Amino acid sequence: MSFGAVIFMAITWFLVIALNVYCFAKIFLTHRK
Amino acid sequence: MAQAGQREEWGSRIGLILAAAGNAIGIGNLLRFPGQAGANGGGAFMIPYVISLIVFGLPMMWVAWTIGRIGGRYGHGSTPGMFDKMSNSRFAKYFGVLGLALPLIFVLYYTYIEAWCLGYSWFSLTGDYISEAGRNVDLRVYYDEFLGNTTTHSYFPGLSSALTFLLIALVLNVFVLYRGVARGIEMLAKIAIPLLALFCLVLIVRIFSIGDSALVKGTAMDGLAFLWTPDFSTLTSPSVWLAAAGQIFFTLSIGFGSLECYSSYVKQNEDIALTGLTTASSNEFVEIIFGSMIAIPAAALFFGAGEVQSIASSGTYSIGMVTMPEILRSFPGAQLFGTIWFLLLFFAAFTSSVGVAQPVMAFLQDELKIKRGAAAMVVGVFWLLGTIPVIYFYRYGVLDEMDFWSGTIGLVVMALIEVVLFAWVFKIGRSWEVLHQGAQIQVPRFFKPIINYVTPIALIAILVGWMGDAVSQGKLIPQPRLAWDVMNRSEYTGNFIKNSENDVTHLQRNIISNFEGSVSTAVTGANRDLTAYARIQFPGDGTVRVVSYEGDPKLAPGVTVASLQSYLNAKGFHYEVFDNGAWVSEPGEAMLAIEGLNRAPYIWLIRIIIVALIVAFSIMVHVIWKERRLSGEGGTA
Repeated sequence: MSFGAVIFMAITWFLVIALNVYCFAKIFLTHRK
Repeated sequence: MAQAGQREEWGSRIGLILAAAGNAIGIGNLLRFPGQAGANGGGAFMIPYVISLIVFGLPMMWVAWTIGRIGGRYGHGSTPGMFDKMSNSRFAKYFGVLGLALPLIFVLYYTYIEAWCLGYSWFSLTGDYISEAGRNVDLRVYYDEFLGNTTTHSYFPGLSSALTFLLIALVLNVFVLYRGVARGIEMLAKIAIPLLALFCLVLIVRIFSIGDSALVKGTAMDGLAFLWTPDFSTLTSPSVWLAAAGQIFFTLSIGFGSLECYSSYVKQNEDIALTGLTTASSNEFVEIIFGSMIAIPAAALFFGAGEVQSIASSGTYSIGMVTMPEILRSFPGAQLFGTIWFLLLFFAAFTSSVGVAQPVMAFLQDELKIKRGAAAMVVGVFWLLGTIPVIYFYRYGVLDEMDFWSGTIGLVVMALIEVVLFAWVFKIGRSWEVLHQGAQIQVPRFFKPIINYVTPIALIAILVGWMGDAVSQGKLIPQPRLAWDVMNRSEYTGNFIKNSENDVTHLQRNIISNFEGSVSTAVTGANRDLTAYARIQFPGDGTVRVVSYEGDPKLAPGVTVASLQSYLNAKGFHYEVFDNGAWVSEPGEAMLAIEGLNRAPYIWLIRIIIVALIVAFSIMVHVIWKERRLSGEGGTA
């Protein structure tokens, strides 16, 4: 894999995983109003 | 139970998220996304893809959940009632009819695709398509015969197998709908989504753990390289932006009315803003991470990096139903991994179809006050009757036609209506308040101008782009379809098509278009299907020779022995003996059937059915609201 491919894959995956972690952490860790 | 005055509610927050994610996650995540990404610039495709997600993927998600909440407040689970509550205009509810007719058309053909996956998981388990000594299964023909898309019957005597699996899929769908929102859809999602993730992981481990073998022509990493190597030159092409926007649209199940319906069952003081975002992010996880690690890496491993491009652009169903089983059956554990692959596709489709059918269930329950069991029966009977033309007229392209109007154009129209209602009719300020009622997150304010201006403009651009494509490709006027088959397939041992159409030269293209054009003209002139037969020989040097031809006199002027021979040569058809070491015999003769199918009556039938459904629902809505007006109910939000 080229460097460009690795970078694009890494950035996209990071963003997707981070968004999921944020959402699920917020759901499970935040008390409902 | 949905009794008068008391609507159903979701059992748990996680159940709702899994159900909404299951609704969004479908076959497109695992098959369509990698094909689109690979064919449209690899890593660079992610730039328009992410922008599309922000410009209208996430906004439409929040729009849908908000509209659903407004409807749910007044006991409406389908879009006619929701739209009516959002607008002072008495016409608004009729726009909502699209949110009933389009999903209903969608489920009629989507259940058939579900049935394919279910059928193939059974065929995998029993090893039916796995070649063995004395029986070499051509998966392309196997797939076509299963669907009745060919005149040959080497593997299936008729459509009985497809019908059986369709009935099973249909009964499962209706059963889940009958059980209701919490005990049906939510329960299904709680089982299916974890299973789906598990199946993905098993297949990823399998594909990336296949080591060196005589069968391997590349590595799984070649597939990832194909998908992610950025090609920035594609960013200036409008078609790439259109493809990215289209993918976001398909993948998030926007415009079906099902997310709105799901939202209507959420308690008024509970969050929908974070739930909508989580639905989209879970869907993206399955699409970007799981979707890029299965089909394309497997194709690169088995066929080599050079073949991946043509496989990626061969179409969603071709990758799923022909290429993947071809790969999986070649390695140890074929039955197990084939079963897992098709069950994965089945569950992805199943959780989507029950979601898309739910708005119609909600309409029957909420507006016509039909009890859930009876509503499920009504939907089930219509579903069964409506799916039959899809099966029997499949070869005339009815599934593609339904997909074009309900699964493509209709969704954009529906989304456009919704965003205008949200931002301009109900007014963005009030809609924003409803979205944030009980919300666990504050949606960034810059989404307000996006929803107000950018999303509607982007939707109009997509609509114009897609309709422009349809007009330029002549899709709106039904063209005859040319089909050909080797009749006595069991009597010869070979592959018939070897070269890809992408390889043909300009001259060859002319020959092909002349031949196909003359068949199409004959079919159009006769206004019926026309058939011809040609006797072909395999001289042993890898070529095909047409020795005689006879057929319908109407076809004869355009199709002669010489023109057919030129056509076959130009298409790159030649004979190649199967290399399975089994019963290789001397090449003999075969009979070739050439069919010109007159698609127009079937395509127009589908269009009439779609219009009839819209009219029928409009009449129902008219009568229901008239009754309500007379009894003094109604009013807007």
